Amino acid sequence: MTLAELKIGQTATILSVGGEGGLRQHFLDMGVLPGVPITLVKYAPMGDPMELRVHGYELTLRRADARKIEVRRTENGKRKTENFEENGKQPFTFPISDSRFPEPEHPGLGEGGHYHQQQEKARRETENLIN
Amino acid sequence: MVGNQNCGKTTLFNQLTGANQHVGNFPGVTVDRKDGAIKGYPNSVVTDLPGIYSLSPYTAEEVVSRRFILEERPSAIINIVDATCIERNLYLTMQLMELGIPMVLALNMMDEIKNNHGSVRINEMEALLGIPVIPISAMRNEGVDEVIRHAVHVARYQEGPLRHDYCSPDENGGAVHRCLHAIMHFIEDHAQRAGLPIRFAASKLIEGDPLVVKALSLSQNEQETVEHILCQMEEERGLDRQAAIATMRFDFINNICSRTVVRPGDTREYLRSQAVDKVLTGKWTALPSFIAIMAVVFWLTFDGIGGWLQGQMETGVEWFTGLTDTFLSSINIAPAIHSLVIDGIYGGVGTVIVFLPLILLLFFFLSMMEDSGYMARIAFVMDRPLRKLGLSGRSIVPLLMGFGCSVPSVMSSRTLPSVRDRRLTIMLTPFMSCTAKIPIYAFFAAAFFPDNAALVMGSLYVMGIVVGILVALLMKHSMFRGEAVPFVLELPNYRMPVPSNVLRLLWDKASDFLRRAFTVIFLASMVIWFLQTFTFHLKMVAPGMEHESMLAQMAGVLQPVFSPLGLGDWRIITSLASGLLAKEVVVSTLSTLFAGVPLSEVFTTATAYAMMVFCLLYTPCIAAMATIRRELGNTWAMIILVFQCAIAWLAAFLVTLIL
Repeated sequence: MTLAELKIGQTATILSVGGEGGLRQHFLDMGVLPGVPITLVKYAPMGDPMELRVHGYELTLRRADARKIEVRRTENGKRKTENFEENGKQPFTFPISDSRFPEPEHPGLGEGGHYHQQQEKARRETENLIN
Repeated sequence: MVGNQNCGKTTLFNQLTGANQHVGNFPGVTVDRKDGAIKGYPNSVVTDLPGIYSLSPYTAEEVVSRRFILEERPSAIINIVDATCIERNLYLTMQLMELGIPMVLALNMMDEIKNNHGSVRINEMEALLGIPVIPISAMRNEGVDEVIRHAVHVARYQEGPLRHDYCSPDENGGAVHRCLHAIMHFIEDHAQRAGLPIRFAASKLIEGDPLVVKALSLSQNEQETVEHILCQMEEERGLDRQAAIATMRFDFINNICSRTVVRPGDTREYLRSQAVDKVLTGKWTALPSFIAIMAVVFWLTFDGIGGWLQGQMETGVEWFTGLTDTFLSSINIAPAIHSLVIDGIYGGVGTVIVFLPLILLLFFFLSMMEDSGYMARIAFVMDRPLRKLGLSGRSIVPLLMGFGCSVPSVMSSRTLPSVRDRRLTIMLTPFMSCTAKIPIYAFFAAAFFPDNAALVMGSLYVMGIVVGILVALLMKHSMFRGEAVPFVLELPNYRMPVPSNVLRLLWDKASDFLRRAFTVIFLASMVIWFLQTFTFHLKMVAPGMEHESMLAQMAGVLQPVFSPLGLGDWRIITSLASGLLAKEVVVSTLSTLFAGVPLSEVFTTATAYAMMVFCLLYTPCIAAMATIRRELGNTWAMIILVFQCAIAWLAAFLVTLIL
């Protein structure tokens, strides 16, 4: 089936992206790729264009272009979301006490991140060698 | 500064530089590059580029960004990434890393991620990408200093990305990896000669990017070899070349994200947007709410708040004029100078300046619509109706902005991906009555239609739209045949506009208006006063002999053209001609020329209406014409100039026939 045949709220996996040239490249660049799940959110008031959710953002395109995109329905059409404030469960975060993954502070983070540490280490080693 | 559309580049740019750049919540607000110096680093230059989704350019503004990066070779790149939509944003990052230019990654909207119980392991991401990653919130000015420090550091010591290569031999059989590296070695000499980074050239060659293919200038034999390698890869990978490359990039991104990003579920911002969209883009409610919102905007601008503010301004200007008048009389100044100051300057500039509040209000509402994200929804809702006119939904943005001012509106048409759409949109923009025409309508409405001023104003706005629609239909079936381009647009979540951004925009517009009032309008008022007060023999015009003035003589040439419209009086012709400088000048000229003479001497209600219609439709001001010329070239600018005059004349003629 094609993307245009999807019903509102249904999720499908993209099989192939048709079309050609700049527009097709644009679709690919926007993350509309084979293997990616995509959900139809709604149609515009006059039935065209359509609003889709892919990679966690809202994309709109016309039905004529959606017909060029082959998809396969995935089983559970609705995505499950958790509302942490209502069900009282704690959301998953990295354990702060775990020394392997220290929770970085913000702002002031990135400073002293691996990147510059490595640069600095390399520089010091070179200096030691020279000395 | 490079990043996706609508990821907060311009907001960060404002934080970095403290400059007055216009920021909006519509993909593609920055349509040209903007330069500024970083706060605390006066010798630095930071450039804000239009948002792009990839280095394969799709619209004209995306070409600006790509050309800048490739040709001007910045010493470092600040890549802004919207953390709430990290995969799609990192796709561009992958391509920037291929360039080998030192870069830092500013992970924007981290406040939104944290507030929704999400998290990003920054240090690990830094290690995996090989570039400094800084979590920031551009809106709240958090982490911005850090971005500056890192950017200056990598630029000064030219620390390039530690990683250029992110295709892996064990990804899906490694076909893409082998193909990419084979081609990289194969075209190495060509890429060096063309001055392109090798990895970038290879991946764009695989995608078939026409600009890169041309720059590499491969021989026939080499082209065939590349084609063979590609065919082999397509067969092994089971995907065509463009999809294979894109999938390879997204696989790497997914790999990184699965190790470093804890995604919040549906964020509060997303759920809120969905709830608001139930109404604003709902099946039955979308169009009514659009019309209602526009009606409220215009009512508040012209009547509600605007009318009151304008009254205050008028009182102020009158009081000031009276003060000067008494002062000048008391010191017995020469009558010529007295007349210059009171009739020329105050009559001209003063009449126009009272409209400042109306103009600012309209810009305020337009910028609120843009910043909040509603403008993108309007494009979504209006795509179908606009397609009937041969346009796409994206055209609604330049058209709506046309109610503010044609200059930024014409420039924003660059977000349209096809030349045909841009020409047609720019052609229609001047029919959307701009704020500079408000003084004209208000001036005549007050004089001739005091009881139904609002009705008259409304009818003019509607007439502009109707004429625009008719012209669009005409063009669709003659000069601009064919379909509008595909409509692909991102709908950003609704966001509260940042007050400082809105204030900056208003300040920009106010200072722009005042500068115009005291330069163009001021000079025009003085010149008009001079031409009208003296004859060709440089004698002051005697009372009752006004038709001997230089102005009257010159305007007489055009009289045959305007007589059929009932606008043959030399004073009217002059005011219309001077309106080409700026539309407000029509009013300042009229009030200079008719100082002490009642308007009803030359206008009837019918000709007054014809005059307003002519002003609504005729050639836009010099600033707008210059912008149109820059966007479309001389030929099209001339076509538009003549075409608009013809339409205006016809419409005004019809009005005189009917009324």
